[in-house]
Amino acid sequence: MTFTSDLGALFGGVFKRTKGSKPNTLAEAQVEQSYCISEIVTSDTEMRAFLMTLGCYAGEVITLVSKLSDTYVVAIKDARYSLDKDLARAIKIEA
Amino acid sequence: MRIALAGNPNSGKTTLFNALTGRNEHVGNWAGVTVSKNVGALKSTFSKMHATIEIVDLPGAYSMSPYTSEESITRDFVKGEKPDVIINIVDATNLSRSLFFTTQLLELEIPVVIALNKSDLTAKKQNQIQVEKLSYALGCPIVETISTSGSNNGLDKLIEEAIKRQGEAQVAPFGAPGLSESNEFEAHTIDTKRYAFVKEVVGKFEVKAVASSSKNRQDAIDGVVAHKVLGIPIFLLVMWAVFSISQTYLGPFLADLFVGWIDQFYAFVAALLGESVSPVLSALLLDGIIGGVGLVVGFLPLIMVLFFLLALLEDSGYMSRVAVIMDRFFKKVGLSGKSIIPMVIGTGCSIPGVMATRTIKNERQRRTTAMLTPFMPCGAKLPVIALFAGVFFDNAGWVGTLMYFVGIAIIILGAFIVQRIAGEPSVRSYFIMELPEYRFPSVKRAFMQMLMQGKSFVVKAGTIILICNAAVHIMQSFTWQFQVVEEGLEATSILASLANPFAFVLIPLGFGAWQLAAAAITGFIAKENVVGTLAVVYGITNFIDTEALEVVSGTDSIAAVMGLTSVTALSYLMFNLFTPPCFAAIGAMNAEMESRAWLWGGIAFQFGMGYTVSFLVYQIGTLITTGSVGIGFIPGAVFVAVLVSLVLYMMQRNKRSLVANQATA
Repeated sequence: MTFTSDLGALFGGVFKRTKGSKPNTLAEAQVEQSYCISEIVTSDTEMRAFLMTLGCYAGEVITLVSKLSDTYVVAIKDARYSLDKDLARAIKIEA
Repeated sequence: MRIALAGNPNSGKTTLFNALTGRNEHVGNWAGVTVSKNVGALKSTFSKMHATIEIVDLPGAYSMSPYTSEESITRDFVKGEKPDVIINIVDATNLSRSLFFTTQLLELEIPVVIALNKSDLTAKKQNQIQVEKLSYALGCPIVETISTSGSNNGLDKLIEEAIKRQGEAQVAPFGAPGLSESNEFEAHTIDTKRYAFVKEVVGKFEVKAVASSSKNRQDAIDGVVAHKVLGIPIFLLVMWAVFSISQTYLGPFLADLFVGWIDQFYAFVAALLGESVSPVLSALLLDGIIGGVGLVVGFLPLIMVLFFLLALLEDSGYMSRVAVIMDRFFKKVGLSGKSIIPMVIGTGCSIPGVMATRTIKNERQRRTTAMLTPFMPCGAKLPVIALFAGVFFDNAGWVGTLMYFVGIAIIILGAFIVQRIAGEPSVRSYFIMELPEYRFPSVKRAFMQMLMQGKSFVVKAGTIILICNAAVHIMQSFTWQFQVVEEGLEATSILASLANPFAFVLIPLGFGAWQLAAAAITGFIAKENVVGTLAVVYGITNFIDTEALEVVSGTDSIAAVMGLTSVTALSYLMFNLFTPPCFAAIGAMNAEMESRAWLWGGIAFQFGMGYTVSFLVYQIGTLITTGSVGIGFIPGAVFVAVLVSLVLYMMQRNKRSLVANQATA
């Protein structure tokens, strides 16, 4: 870790504490809220294509229904899915 | 004429298939039950045509995309084998996702008929779909169906429409000219447009009473059932209930009736044979066949009730939630929550359990799960557990429970080892599981499932087990010179000479007797054979008490005849439970491994594990009970040490190669 990235982390932390933190990915989202997906960030092209077939892609709406046992239960197009934290972190949302 | 059933997972295809063909394929309320295609002939009540109509049930698919590795069976069949008509089963409660696949099917130039399934649920939710207008917009007929209903289910009309469409053209309602699927970026654009089309159509013709994304009662149930703290205790409670009902209450009750009939049959045949028939033949027929097979069949009711309860569990939709609960634990050993489902199914029979691993996308995880699923004691191993618990441990309940816990421990250890040997911790494998709606499990469907699985058990008993028992009995009664073995000189029999070499290897485990070795070997053909062979070889048959499925007085003599102490009995029991499964299950493993290396590695692991566990139990047990180690300690310890160091070596080698890869990356 370089000096500049340490500094960035420090300031980022400061900002996070002073402003109400906006959720960046689904992992930080609030329960029972709907969000618009901005991007799926992953090097796993198969997973991205698979999510597409479920209707989970940039521009679509995703709702975080609940958090259960360290998984995230979401609603996408009339169906419920359970995602793990890694996958939740890959789904970037617009607050 | 050939009709293919295609649609999203868990939309009701297999249920529809069973209704149309009268077959009884495995169904379950979770995505991924059907792993290979099922083919059947349409029941004549549906078709007035003279030619037979073939129905092909395909595994569920969310899309035909070439970029997702799964669902290729559906894609390959539909594109390669060109069915005459495709019936697209669409879950009416989820049009906005289901129609995505529909638009792809409509582009194949094969006539499509949509079965708008689960229409009873739509009505219950008070959602409204303008079927005719939707049909016009998509360009194909839509028939509302309820595949779970016995009557008034729309199936007649569905088949009528399908037959009508044969030979007709199919126009695709959606087109993306200028873009090709072969380019990944363009494919993404096509799919986005596809969803835009679906959204437009659904928006026009569907009205939902309640938005799907709002929290409902199902979510409230999930909150309890998949709760971080309550989840596991609830799951254990459910499994405990399944086992106690099948093994302690309902099962034995039905088994008593069964065994009563077998006893009567035995007496009947014995009276028929009388004194005139040669003792060898009468022994073969009475003790070898009726006695040996009867012993196994006596367990049938217990196993059937177990299958029934597991089918109820699968039908309810609870299985997906179990996967959610277990995910965070399985992650620690390199698996995902999905691996629990094959193991739960495996408590009934390993074969469907291993086949269920196909839904696991990650290759290493799938292969690991396939290899570890047989460690959960299956229905066929129940007679073995019951026999030993009864004879050596006074029918104590802890014996059976211990076996399951040891199985779980071995699975955890095994997953950890495989991850260290073949895994790459940096590779992300995501867990995503669809959570279907709960439904009240259908007693009728569970009953049919039970009959289907029970039937294969009975067929197995009547063929393989019968033949094995007869063969063992013959081999035990004759010497290589085809002379009858004399009393007290059993060691001269064919069976003894064949089994002795193997018995030698088993000495450090405490049971180096040829009879026990022979029983263990026949166990690979079917685990029930262990009980059958022991019964034949030791001449103990008909010792199950009809009143309470317990071993009657004579217990002491049985233990003495077998020459086992409680320590060696436990060791032998564990050996049989935790070695490679029956050949049929190994065949299922082979289908999932798709690799010689993994298959033989898996079998070697299973054998090594069974041997090691058995060795430790015997030696440590003997040490505790008698103060000194058992026979063959040194050679056994050497062998186990070699196995352990081999495993450690492979773990080290993988670690080094991963570090090397990282350095060069």
